[in-house]
Amino acid sequence: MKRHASFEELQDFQEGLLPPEENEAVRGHLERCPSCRRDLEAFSNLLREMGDLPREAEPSRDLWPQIEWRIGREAGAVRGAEGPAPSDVKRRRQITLPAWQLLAASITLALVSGGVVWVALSGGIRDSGPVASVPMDVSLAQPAGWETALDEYHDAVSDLEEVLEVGRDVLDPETVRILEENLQAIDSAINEAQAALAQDPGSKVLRRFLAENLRRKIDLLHRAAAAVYANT
Amino acid sequence: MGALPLAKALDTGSRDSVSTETLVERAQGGDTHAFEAIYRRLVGRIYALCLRMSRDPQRAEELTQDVFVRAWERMGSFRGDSRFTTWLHRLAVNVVLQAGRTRGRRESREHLVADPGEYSARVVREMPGTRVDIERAIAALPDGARTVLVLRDIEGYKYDEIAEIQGVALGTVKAQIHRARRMLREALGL
Repeated sequence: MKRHASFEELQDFQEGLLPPEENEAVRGHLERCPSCRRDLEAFSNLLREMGDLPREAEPSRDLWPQIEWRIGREAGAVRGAEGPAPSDVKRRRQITLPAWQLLAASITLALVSGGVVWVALSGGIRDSGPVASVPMDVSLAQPAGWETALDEYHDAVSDLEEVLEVGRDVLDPETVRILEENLQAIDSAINEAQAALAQDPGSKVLRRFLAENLRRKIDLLHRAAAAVYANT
Repeated sequence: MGALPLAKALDTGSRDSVSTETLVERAQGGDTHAFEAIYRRLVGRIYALCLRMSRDPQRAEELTQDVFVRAWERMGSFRGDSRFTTWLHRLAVNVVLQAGRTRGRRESREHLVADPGEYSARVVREMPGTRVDIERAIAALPDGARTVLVLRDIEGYKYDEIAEIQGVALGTVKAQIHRARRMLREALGL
């Protein structure tokens, strides 16, 4: 081989990917060409340095509380080996209602649940309408109220997301994109709040922050579902 | 051994006392403590992968959560044909790639390391001993080039495995890796 070896040839040579004839040609060239030998050595060093890069990293916070919370919802908070296998407890509801019926049901649920969550997490903010119908003994001091509120919240979110899934095609793609971006941002805030609460369960500030973001998500989904309804 | 002592044993450092295979079997039976032990054992590997592929520490933490939630959902489908760590790692790659496709090209472009200084600081803090110049150069690569480079040269995937994961021809993967290495070499001034 009279010309210099290309970088691609050197890569394939280093990894033993060249056909035998080409491999010998490159090998012969390398014996005669200091420049290509330097290039090969530099590439070999780079490969070694990449191979030596750490393959473990530590997240800035413990992610388990949120994972546990998410899989707990999937598994019905299964604890212990006696519980059903994850694949068996996975809940996937089938949509059997027309979109408009589902929408009507879910909006009602969303309003109630959003209110429940807000009251439960913020310690009882009085408001009119559906929120006012929420029993006021659901408060920060009562873990049972917290759990109930979160369950209802997730049911509401799930229902609204199903409406969106059904009606996704009737919305403008740009609207869907913006909607997804906003939901993603809200979910990030919710995740952060939950992680912080796992470290400091008694913080009312964190609960209010979490509650606000849960309510924002319900509100956004609610408006999106209404848009689906309006276009169906 | 009960579920709680198992998790505590792992937390207190006796990580080798219970095999991953045992933990997997218990997690497949619905034991979330065993699954937590798996998480504690493998989160570093999964987070590092997510961090390099997403270039965003916060996004990497979200993706890591998604990987473990997906793994829990699919524990029943793990048959032991491969090592669990291999299965989980492959699942993580798929989750990250799928998330990238969902976010779309536009956002991916906008999501280029917005603050290289912050990214580097986080990488140094979360990956002690790493080569920051190489990490930054890798992070600056376009999505496709970075993905194949990380999978091949850091994670050690074979060319045909990457082709299968990406759903592209073997020749395409080779060309992508050639290009990615060339870009990296130029970025590092080699």
